[in-house]
Amino acid sequence: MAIPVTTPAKLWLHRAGANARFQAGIVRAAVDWTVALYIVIPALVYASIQYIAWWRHPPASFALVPAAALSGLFFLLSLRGSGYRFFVLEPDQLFVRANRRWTRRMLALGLLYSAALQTLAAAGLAGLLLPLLRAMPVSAGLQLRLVGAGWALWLVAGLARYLLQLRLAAGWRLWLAQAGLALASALATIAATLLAVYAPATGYPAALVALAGAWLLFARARLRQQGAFLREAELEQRAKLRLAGLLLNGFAAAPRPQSRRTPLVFRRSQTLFRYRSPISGLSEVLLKSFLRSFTMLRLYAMFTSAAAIAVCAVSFAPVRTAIWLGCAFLLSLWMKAYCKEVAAAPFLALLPWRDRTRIGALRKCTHLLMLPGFLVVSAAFGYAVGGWIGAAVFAAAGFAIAYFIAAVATIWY
Amino acid sequence: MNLLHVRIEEAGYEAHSPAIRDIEFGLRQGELVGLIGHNGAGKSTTIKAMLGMIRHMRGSMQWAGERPSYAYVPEHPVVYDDLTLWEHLETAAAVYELERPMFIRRAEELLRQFRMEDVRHHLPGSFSKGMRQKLMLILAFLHQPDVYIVDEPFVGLDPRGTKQFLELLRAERERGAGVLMSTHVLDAAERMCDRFVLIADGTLAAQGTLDDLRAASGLPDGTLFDCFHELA
Repeated sequence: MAIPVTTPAKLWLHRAGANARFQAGIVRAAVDWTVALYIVIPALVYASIQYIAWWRHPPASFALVPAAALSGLFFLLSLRGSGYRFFVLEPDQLFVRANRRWTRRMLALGLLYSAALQTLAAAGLAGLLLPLLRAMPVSAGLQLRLVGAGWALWLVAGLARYLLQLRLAAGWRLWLAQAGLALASALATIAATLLAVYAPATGYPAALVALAGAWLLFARARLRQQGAFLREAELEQRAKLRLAGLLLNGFAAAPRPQSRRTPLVFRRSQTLFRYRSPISGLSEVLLKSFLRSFTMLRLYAMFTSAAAIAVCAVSFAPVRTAIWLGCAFLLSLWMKAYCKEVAAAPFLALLPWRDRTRIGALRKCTHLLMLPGFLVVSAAFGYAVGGWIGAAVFAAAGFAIAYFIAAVATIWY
Repeated sequence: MNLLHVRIEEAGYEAHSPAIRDIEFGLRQGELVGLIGHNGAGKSTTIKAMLGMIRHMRGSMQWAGERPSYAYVPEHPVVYDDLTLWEHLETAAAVYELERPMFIRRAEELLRQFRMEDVRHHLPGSFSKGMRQKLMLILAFLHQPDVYIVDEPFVGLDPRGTKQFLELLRAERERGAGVLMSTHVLDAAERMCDRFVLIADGTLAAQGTLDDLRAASGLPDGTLFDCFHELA
């Protein structure tokens, strides 16, 4: 039954409930019964058995893990994102925002909710680490102090990160500020760890009080923040879609706001081909789109590195060759799929492309885009087979193979 | 000379559930035809059906030339976020196979007219709604087609942009191009259009000159606004 929204707390609860249903829907969409039955449930059963086994007989290597890794783990978690949710929505500008009391109350509830959620997550993480904690050659008190320090730093760094994101637009200033925050968090983690070890009765409680004070100060700044409403709504939307982005990563490109005024590469709209034709025009769109996408470039570099390492690491020649040629096919199909997706963009749909233009551009771009990566993999393959001479020979062969495979992969649209 | 003859028996977004039906009209050289109707009457659906952008369409489109030569300006600007303004123009020029010197001259002229020269190498993500609309208009005027199909062109345009758009439209009509303009800004339509196609509840309610609409509505001195409310 719907809750009648007559107070800010009820409105906040309504939104928190809607968010929980949305996230649950995403998980349901990603983990259907088949996935649950064949992957998730067996994985959970295996993990439980392993957990109990480690609890009973912890591996000797657990004793080698330094205690400082506990606070370090929370520091790494704080780098992942702010973790704060306030459920600010864009339509709030219509009426909710006009009532300062409602707005502040909802923000305060958001702060408490986020802190509670992070506390639960920290407790859950500590629970998961229990077999490791049991095996560590340090006292339970010290472990508790380290987990406590890590948790407190996580809360404070997360809120500080949120405030930075609120006050600075996406760009190099925000990047720099976040790098500064990460450095400060790292130093604070080291200091808190040292205090937990060497000054548990005096310095450590003082550090916790200082962190609580910092959190209260940041919370006050958050509640008093004015003039950043649209940014708040944007951050909320991004946080809402974070899980979806994580689950769909690799299957769909997440929508990204284009905040730059001019592109980083080809800043003066330089043309890539001297000869102008419909095919070169479409090819140019496809190539520039790829070269201006940091996500695609990162994935491409990761794929190429993994394939190059694989062809060097595998010693059995038939498998190595299969990986090399398989890499060519995978790269060509991936680049083709990317180009097809870009070619279906609404702007391009406005223009009267012919089928032969689409296929011509697809072939050209699939070859050009797969070429650098495949040359690297071919050179690595050649190096593994016959040293530097092999690298040069197979890089040259890779050029021709890439052309042939791109042509085969684009026979059909 | 008839540049375009449209005959839509029925069209819609789902099979067996037509959003529009029995719509037939023509567009002659140099003519500006206003496609008018209430919100949701079927104006944009008619345009999308004409352009083959909806799956379920029964009817025919007859163009004057061998190949359709038209430019479409959508109601909501569609841009490619990864391309600069100039790259949008380059892409369109490549598709329309424009001669390079002609393209450069025409593009520079349109950028100047719409006061977009300074942002030619900017990404459209940094543009306002009006600037994106201007980009759509520049793309449409770039290759000087036979037919312009313009959906709600005044939304988001500033007065200077509107004036520039109307002047370019006038020049294009003098060249011989026909314009089909969907709008619900009726006072502007009354001043500009030669004829009107009135769509109501997904079907053709009336068409003709203002005098024809006056006769059909029984309002001999009525404005387009009066006739519209009588007929729609």
